[in-house]
Amino acid sequence: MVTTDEKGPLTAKKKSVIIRSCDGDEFLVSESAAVLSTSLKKILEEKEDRLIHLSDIDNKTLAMVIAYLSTHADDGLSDDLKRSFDQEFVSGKEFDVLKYLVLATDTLQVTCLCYTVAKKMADIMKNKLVEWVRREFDIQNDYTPEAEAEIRRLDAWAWDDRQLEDD
Amino acid sequence: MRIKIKASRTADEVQSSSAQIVASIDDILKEILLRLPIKSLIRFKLISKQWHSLITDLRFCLLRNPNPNPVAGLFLHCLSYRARPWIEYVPFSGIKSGNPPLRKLKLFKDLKGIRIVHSCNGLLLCSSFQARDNNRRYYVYNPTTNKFSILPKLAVGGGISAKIDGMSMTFDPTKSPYYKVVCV
Repeated sequence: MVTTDEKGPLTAKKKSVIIRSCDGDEFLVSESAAVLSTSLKKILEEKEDRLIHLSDIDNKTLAMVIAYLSTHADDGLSDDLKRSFDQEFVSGKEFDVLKYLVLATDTLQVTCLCYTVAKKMADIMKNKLVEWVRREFDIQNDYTPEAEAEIRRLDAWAWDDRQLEDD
Repeated sequence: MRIKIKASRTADEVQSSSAQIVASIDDILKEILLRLPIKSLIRFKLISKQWHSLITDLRFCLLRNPNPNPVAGLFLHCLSYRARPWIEYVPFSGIKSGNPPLRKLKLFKDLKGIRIVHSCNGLLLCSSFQARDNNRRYYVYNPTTNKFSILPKLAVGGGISAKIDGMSMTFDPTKSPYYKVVCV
């Protein structure tokens, strides 16, 4: 019995590319998954080369992004399945991991993953103290105590008795 | 042959913490901020001056809330000789909401009761229900935040009459965060 590819003619053989992380690990990725990243798509359109080196994405982050791209390039999966994959993808991830991920989505220009990660980060941040956010983003408080008090006073209603978290 | 993605960031920056990089790229930060509830956003204005200007930027506000005030319903002010004035809410959606956004204007300690004089884009201009002009107090009330402010009394004299023919309010949050009240 001859099996045929149900998704397309046999002549359209699957191309793949190798993507290398900044720490040297190489990943074999189907072209259909790679082109979901606008940056990779542009590179593949310009050059025939099949090895792409990413100088600012580490192997762990890259592996996650590639898992995401491969799932979303799979025509056999319904949109519902992809949506539940997205939920699963970010659930339980540490804030630090999400920071690297969101940077990678910026470099690779994967808009839908950027939105998913940004939403997860916002969900983690929403009930956190200002001090927590400053720590996580390494931000110096550049207000004077007077200016800080004035900002709190103007929007006093947002500083109600809600339990804000610091960890 | 290797191809490198040209990144605007240098190798040194890659070495530095991801936190600083995320915080320094306004576009990423905006995507995160856009997904925060309004109360968190307002608190996070306190994080730094950069965050404050991002959050209060008019374009950001429009992105977050492209159609700030679609009219969702009407408040009907009901008067009766037997009872204090009350408010009925008529939603435009046709579904009788079990929990109307506003039932009474009991927030104010105005003994005479309150009536709504005017409303504009989410703010209500209210006044004392029964009082002579010179005793009548005017309020601007934000039902969303449940906060109100009392308008200053008119400086009467010097050719300015105490008689008020009408009060109107104008407020468009897409243009300015401030409201104006016009008194004739």
